[in-house]
Order: sequence, then C-alpha cells, then structure tokens
Amino acid sequence: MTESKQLRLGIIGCGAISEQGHLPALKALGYKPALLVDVDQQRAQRLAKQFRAGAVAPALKPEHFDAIDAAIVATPPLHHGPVCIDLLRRGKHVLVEKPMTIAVDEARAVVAAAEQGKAVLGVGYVHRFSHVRQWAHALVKSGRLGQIRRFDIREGYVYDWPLKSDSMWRRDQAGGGVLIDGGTHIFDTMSWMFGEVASVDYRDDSYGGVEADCMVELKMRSGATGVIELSRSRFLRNTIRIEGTAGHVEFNIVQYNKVVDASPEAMSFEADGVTPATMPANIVLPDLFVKQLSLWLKAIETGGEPPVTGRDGLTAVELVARCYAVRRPWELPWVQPDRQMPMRETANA
Amino acid sequence: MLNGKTVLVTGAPGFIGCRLVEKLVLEQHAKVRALVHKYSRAARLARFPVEMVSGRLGDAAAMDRAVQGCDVVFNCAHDWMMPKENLVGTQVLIDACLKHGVRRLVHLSTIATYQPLPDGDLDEERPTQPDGYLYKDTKIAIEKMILQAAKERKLPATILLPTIVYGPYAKSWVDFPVKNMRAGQVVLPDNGQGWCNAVYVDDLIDAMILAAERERAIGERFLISGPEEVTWRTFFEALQEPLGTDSLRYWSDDEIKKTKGDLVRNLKLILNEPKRLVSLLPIRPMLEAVYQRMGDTAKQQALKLWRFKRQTNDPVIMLPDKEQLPLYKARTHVSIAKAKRLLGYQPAFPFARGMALTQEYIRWAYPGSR
Repeated sequence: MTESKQLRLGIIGCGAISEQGHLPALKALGYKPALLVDVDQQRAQRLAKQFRAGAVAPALKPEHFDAIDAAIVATPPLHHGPVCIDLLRRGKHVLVEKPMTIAVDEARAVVAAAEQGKAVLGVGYVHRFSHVRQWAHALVKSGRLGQIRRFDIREGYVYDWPLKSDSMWRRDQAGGGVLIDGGTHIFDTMSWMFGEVASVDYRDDSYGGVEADCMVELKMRSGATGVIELSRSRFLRNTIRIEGTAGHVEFNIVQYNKVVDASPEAMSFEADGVTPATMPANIVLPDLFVKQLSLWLKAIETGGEPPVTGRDGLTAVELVARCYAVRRPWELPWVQPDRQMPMRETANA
Repeated sequence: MLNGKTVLVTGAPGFIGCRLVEKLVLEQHAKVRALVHKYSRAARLARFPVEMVSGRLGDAAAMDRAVQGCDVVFNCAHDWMMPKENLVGTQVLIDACLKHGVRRLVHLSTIATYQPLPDGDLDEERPTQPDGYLYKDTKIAIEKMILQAAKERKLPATILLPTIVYGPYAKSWVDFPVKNMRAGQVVLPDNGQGWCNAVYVDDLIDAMILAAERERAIGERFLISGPEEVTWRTFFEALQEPLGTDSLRYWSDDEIKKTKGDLVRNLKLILNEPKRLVSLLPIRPMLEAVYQRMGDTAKQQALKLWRFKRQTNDPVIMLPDKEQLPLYKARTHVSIAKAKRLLGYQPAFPFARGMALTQEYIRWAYPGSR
C-alpha cells in the first residue's frame, strides 16, 4: 500500500455526486472513507454501510479534524467556502466539487487557506479528464489548428439530476443557475484551452430565481471570440467547436470520446498515442472520477499540483461573477407576449 | 385580484403549472408556493422566486404545509402512472383546503372526460360516462369528489376542462409530435379533416385566474377552448413548418388498422421501445393495476423498462392510438359560452397568434429547425 493509500479521507456532503461519483471512485481505488458527513444521517448510514466508511456525522466538527488527513467537499455550493477554509487552514488536503465557491472573495480565501495550510487543493472539474478533452487540449496547444479564431459551445439537456433538496434552485445556496453549475465546467475547459477572457456579454432567462438557459459571448485576450449557450430545459447540440486559421475540430460534450467533425490536420493529430480514430471508447462518468481522484491523491503523495488547481477554480468563479455582473434578461417571446420582442438569435447555429 | 395573495400551484413543474406560475408572478404579482414531487424537474420553475414545498398530492403532511396560509389553490397535478394516488391525493387536497379555509380551489380536469367526442356541439350539460379508459375515468372520479365536496362541505371549488392545450413546452401536443416528426412520420386519419379544438396555454391560464376570482364560478365546471377550431391537418402542419420536414401522412382507417396488425413491425417496435406494446394492445389498465401493486424498487425497474428506447436508424411511424383515432376524426364544436358568461373568459389567442409563438419555441427548442 502506498503512502497516499493510507490517507484517512472524509466525504463532506453525501448527495448524488458523492454517491454516484466520489464514493465509487474511492472504492475502485481501494479506499474506505474514514468519515462521511451529511445532515441526512439515514442516507449517510446507508452509504457508510455500502462503502464501508469508518464513521458518520451530521456536521463537520472540530473533533473530526484529527480523524482525517484529507477530504472531498461535496456539500451544496454555499458551504464550499467555509468548509474548505476550515480544512485547508488545518493542513487537510481538499478536493472540492465545482463551483469552488459561489463568491469571488470566498474563492480567493480558499486559495489563500491552501497556501497557508500547505495543503493540496483540487477542484472537481472532472470533464477535463475525458480522452477527447485531453486530446483537443493538446491539439489546440500544438498549433496544428493555427491561431484560434472562434469557438462555439452549446450544452443543453432536460435537467434530471436526482436532487435531494431544493438547494440547487435557490440563488442564496447555489449562487446561480445553469451558468454556475454546468457552465463552470465549460468555463474551466475554455480557460484551459484558450487562456484569459478579455470581455463578456451575458443574457439569461431568470426572473428573480436561477436561470435555466443562458447565453455568453466572449472575447479572449488572444483575439479569439466565442459563444457559449447553456440549457437545463432543452437538448442542444452538446458539442464544442473550435475554428483556427489552419483547421477546425468539433467534439461531443456528453459522449466523452467522440470527435464529431474535424479538418484533416486535426483528424490526423496524435496525443499520448491517441487520434480520433483510435480514441478509447466507453469512458463513462465514474471512470472520470477515478482519474480525477487518483491524480489528486498523486499530487498529495508527491507534493506536486493537482491537474485542476485552486487558481483554476478561482478563474471559473471569477468568470461567473463577471457574467452575472453584466447580466441582461433573455426575453423569450412567449413569456411576455404582449411586450414581444423579435428573437435576436436562436440556438440553431 | 391575486396581487400579494399567497397561491399554491400543484404540478407546478409541468407544462401548464409552470406557465401558470410565470403569469402569477409576472402579471398577478402573487406570492407563489409550488408543490414539487421531484426537485429534478423544477429547473424552469426555479427561474421564478417561488417557495417550493416537497411532496406528493397524497402526502397529507406535505399538503397541509403547502396549503396553510394560501388564499387560492390551483390543482394542476396528475400522475398518469398512479391513477389511485390521484384519487387519494384529491381527497387530501380537499380536506386541506377546507381545514385552512382556502378561498378558492381551481381544479384542472380535461376534455378527455367526454371522449369519444361527439360530432356537433359539446357543452358542459353533456353527461360524462366512465368507459374503461383509465385517464378519463380517473379524471371523472376526481371531478365527482370535488363537486360533491363543493355541494356537501361548501368547498369553494371550480373545475376547468381544457381542450387541446398547446404552446411552448406542451409535452403532449407540441414536444411529442415534434419529436416524432423529426424522427420519422406521423400518421393522421381522415385526411386530417377532423376538428381540433385547440387552446393556447395563455388563454387557459387566464381562464384559471378568472375562475379563482369570480364568485359565480364556485361549484361549476367550464369547458375552455380557443376562439376557433382548426383541422388537425392545419394543427400538425403548423407544428411541422419550423422543422422543414415532410413527416405528415394521411392514411385511411384500413391502412392504419393493417399496419397496426403487422406482426413483424410490431415485434420490432416493442423490442426497440417496450412501451409501444400499450399502443398496440389494450393492456394499459392491466399494466397500471400491476404497477400499483409493486414495491418501490420494482416500480423503479418497471419505469426504467417503460422509458427504455433503443437508438435505431429506422424511421418512426407514429400511428394514432385507440383514443386518438376517434379524437382526430370527430367534428366537435366545443362551446365556451358558459365560461364567457360566468367567468368573463375571452380567449385572446387566435390560432395564428398562439401557433406563431409556439413555432418560435420550436425553432428555439429544437436546434436544426429553420
């Protein structure tokens, strides 16, 4: 057993993402969690039995800090900041679900707490670990597509995540809607591939609650422009399309291994021995969690950086805040037909 | 009139419930409380500042919490998969409304209570008759419970019976046919010349709000339809227009019957999508009865099987089912005279206007439409 395998791990928050992602990943890597924390004790007990956890608790308390070396934080986003800061300051390593926090100040405090506690802070942007995103990232960085001119990202499906409470629907707890939820995955991938954002334009369909649909238009410092459309109410194209001066590529967001379209120079590109034609099939969400977890554990073991750092998490939170700061209403004509405005654009790109 | 009032909407995440919430918040400035069975379905509802109460209709404790302090309750909830639970839930709702002195209960029923629709005029005087079509029979039974409570226990309730409700997010009459037209062909009988009594969702919502306000509505049932009938051909062609497909087919009853009886086709359909069995054989009541008796785990498995659909390249041919066939052929004129007289209902969306908004929605919701 390696040193990292002897880590005593806590899971703070035992909702659907822990049950379907983190706990199966721990099990796959041979870990038994030392502690499960959740307000729903019945649920925590059931999961403790299923995943052979050492102890359960309704809330993270000071006495628990001696019982764990590291923790996966998967509470409602409202609590990410305070929980992470508590853990990190005490030198406990943290892998926090996205978004890292719902407020920028808090995200900065989390990053500072990790530095102060000399702890490894990873952020759960699990989609980065798909074969196709790793390959596409390498493709963009290789220069094979030339200078990136434009990207067009559409991600939408009818929301059906098995929520256990209404926290996702409350701005005070979730921090926002589809943008801060699925959208931060996209922001993470976008920043990773295309660098810094120069300016944003943002519209959404919220009427005092949290948005189900939104549209982001971006200008990057590199000169590239991009569109991101996100939906919890519609099935969209679910692809990321990248156009450069020397070629293009389009890959699927949901199917983690599918290149939909590519110019010849992209199609023949090989990264880590993989091309679109040889990309391993059948990668599924649990596999991504295993990959994420093993790389975070490796960073703890080696004292290195996890693939998605606290600074990456902060970048995504800052981008969300920039969008909400310039928010304009997305007035769909059927919502208030008596003040109907023509639709300036549709999702049909 | 509902300005500042506390209003409960059951079935709020659904098509009609969600549109009702939108208009209650944006136009009526009401304080909206929503009874939510599954939080996962509440993404569109959550765009508005509503108070969500978790629970099902039949959950007496949840219903008590939800109804307490409400001036008006709109009952839009109906679970197709749980007919008995709808009846239990209605009783729970009636009791809660009486206990908390709710000023008005507006219950949403359906024109399906009159199926098969007669040719000629149809108004509320026509008696409804259970006939084994479970959805219809359940809705009739619910109406009976509510009217009885109105008469015997002074429940201030009103029942609305909308016709074919269409508009953005209409699952049955927009999304379902659009998906089928995108995937293959949709077959109509009678050259599509039967009459479609369509009502744009906003007109129905206006009728619901009027029903919550008008004293003369108490203890009454109202048919709610749009300002004019169109043919089913017109209705479906309008849905198809933004798709740019050539998906509509007009078959004779004989052709429909013959295709429905094609064993090889049917076997393939069932293997690809088990729930098609229900459109081919009259086993829905039996399946629903079995489903009612299942435990929670078995129900989950059954629902999984029910929702299973194999991806194939074969074009889908959607034939009208047993209830749709007479619906598509009937020449019924649904009278809204009573709603006009007692509620002051005046539909504001001629078919052209309601469908133009619906087409905008189709273009938005189905990427690739023109």
